Amino acid sequence: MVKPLVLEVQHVDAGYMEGGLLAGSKWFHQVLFDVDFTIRQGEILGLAGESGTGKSSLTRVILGMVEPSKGKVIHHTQKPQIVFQDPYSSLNPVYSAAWSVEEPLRILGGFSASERRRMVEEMLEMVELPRDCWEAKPDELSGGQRQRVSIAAALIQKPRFLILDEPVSALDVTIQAQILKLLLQLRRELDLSYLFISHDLNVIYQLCDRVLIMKAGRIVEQGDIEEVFNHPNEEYTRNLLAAAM
Amino acid sequence: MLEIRDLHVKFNNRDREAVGGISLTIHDGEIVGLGGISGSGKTVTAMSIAGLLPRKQCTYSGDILLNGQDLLHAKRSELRKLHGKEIGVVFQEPMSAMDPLMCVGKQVEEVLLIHTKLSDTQRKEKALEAMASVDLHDVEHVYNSYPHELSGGMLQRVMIAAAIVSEPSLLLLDEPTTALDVTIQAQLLALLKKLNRERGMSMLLISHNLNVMRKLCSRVAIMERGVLVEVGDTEEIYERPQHPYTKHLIESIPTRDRRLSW
Amino acid sequence: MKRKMNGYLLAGIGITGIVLLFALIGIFWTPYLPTAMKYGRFQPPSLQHIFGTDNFGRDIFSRVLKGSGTTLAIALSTVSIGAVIGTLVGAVTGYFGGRIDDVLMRLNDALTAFPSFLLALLIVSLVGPGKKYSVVLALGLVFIPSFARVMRTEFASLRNRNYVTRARLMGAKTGWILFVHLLPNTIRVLLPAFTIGFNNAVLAEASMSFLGIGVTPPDASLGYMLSEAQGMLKAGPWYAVSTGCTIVLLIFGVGLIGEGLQILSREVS
Repeated sequence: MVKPLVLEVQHVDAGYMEGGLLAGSKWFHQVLFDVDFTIRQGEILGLAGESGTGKSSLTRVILGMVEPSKGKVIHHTQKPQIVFQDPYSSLNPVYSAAWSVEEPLRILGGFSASERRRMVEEMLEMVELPRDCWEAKPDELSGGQRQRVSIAAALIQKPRFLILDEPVSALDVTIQAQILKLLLQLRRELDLSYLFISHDLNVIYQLCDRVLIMKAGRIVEQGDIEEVFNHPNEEYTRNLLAAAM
Repeated sequence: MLEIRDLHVKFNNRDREAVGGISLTIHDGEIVGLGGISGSGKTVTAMSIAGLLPRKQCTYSGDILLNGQDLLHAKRSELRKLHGKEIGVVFQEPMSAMDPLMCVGKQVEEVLLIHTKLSDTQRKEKALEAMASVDLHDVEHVYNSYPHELSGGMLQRVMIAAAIVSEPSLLLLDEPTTALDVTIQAQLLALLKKLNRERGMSMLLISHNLNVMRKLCSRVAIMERGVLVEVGDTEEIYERPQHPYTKHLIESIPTRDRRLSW
Repeated sequence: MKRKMNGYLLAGIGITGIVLLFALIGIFWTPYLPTAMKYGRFQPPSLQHIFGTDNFGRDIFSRVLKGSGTTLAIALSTVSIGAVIGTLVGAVTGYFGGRIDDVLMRLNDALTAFPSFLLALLIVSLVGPGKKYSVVLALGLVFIPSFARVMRTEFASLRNRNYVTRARLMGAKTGWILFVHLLPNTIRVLLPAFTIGFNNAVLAEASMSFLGIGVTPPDASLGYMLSEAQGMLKAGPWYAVSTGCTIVLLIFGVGLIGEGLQILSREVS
């Protein structure tokens, strides 16, 4: 049975205006070229590529922060949430973990204080953040704990789809493994889809069902994870895989 | 060659010792890896070897001997003579390790200016030679470039050139590939291997990336909370880790042998 | 967050506290009527008049108590105007950038380029000297640019934090981002800037009153009294000493608090 689509990215071109203050001196700097893929419910799609290939531009386009200059982004569910790489700047240092998780509910509105409290507690338990960390400020938390809080804050909005932008790259291996397991566990419990961005092909292999290989703003190869990793069609993919062995 | 004997380091504002009595030997021409997660004490160990310990803010004991010379208790002035000449250091962030206003060639030969009495042309010759040996192409052009004009991979090569130009007996590598893309990372590791093979240079690699360590090092030492939990041949440790912590660490490495399933 | 007090902060609070105490007492009680001229001219300090009396036979201690309050009130409202408007300008320019940033910051530059004292003079003469709050208004305006500049830098560096992006993706309004997320993070620079501004305000008020365009009788501020004392340095030096010392005490104390706050914020971050 084919699961329903959550996201379609159709032949997207995108870029930024660059240049000086004067009207004539600006030019269009294109960073994405004909990017085309879909994500289905419950699927983990990996996005691999080296720095500067347009991975973060793609997330900005998906999140609607940058308009594509050509093509379309179609969301079949509500807009996705994002978890960033750097757990240090993802949380406001002034507020506690519980506050950060509660924030989206306040902004959304329509929940009473006790409802919010209950949902926050439920969420923090789901991401397995120890109870004595709930009222802690970000600088009292470890990198892994911070990332758990970021995930909770993203999930409390009940998205069907999460963008994970290098969520484990800043973490030590042992913590990394814990967070990856948590992500898999959450996907199973909540039937989530992920777009998992990483420069680490081994992590992508461990976690993802399908993979996109990006190079200089284009998707050079995409497909089933085993297929791409075991029988890469492109020279670039082969090089990347060889380097990561 | 390098011998660390029962090194203890404790910072004055901490309760726990950052390094709690470690002993480690590096033989001539050997590449040893020192691994562990952040906060395990590997960086403090490296700082002690490089003589970069903030001595007033910590208490320390033990010995660090480089070819018989004491590095831990040496006077500042003596250390200064050893710096660069006997120990070359390569840091994680090449961009912040370089002076943005000086062309990279001058930075490569800076150490020669400090430690030798070579003439300008001799120094430049040496620098170009070192830069060629790290597989930089068109070295004359690179010599006159500024850091912002070079890519991260090239900059890291320049850093290595600067570290080896005075032909030190030990190269200290502090997460040298962490900031780089995998393909560049692979090239740099190959380069380091080549330098080790051709020049017989000993290296100490500090890294949290156990994959990188496995590719480069013949022996590895795993640190946890300030102590060495396991030291041994790389393959031996990766295939048959003895200590439960090492086992846990090795199992956490993402590999292509297995997929996570839940 | 554990916040440790430091020596600077404690000493600063203690010293500022003395002047603050003067001002508080002055509101409710003074040993003599500060404007009554019947205690004998140029009495040196004694048990009856601990700071002595002035040329009109007024009790100086009573006048210092009253004057401290006036000075504190003027300085506080001046910096507050500067800080509040400056923060708003800084927040808007720093957060949005672009055209509005260009316009407001050039305006800011123009204000900065103008000698501040001259500007204050100009505003006082426009509003009308003699009016009670013309000094406050004039000095307040003069203080806006420095706050705006500091706060703009802060807001601009904070606006790209991931928590801001996340809040925006949640659909948070700009006001929420500016005041709930960013403002609390700027306290670390705002507080020290506030203390420095406060000291500048005390000095500026003193010099304006000294020139006779600040407070007008029967009100008296410390600066105004210092300018009075100037004429009688020989006959009653105690007048200049007591008012001058109070000003120095206030500035020294607040300066220490500012220093302490900066150390604190460095320790926390």
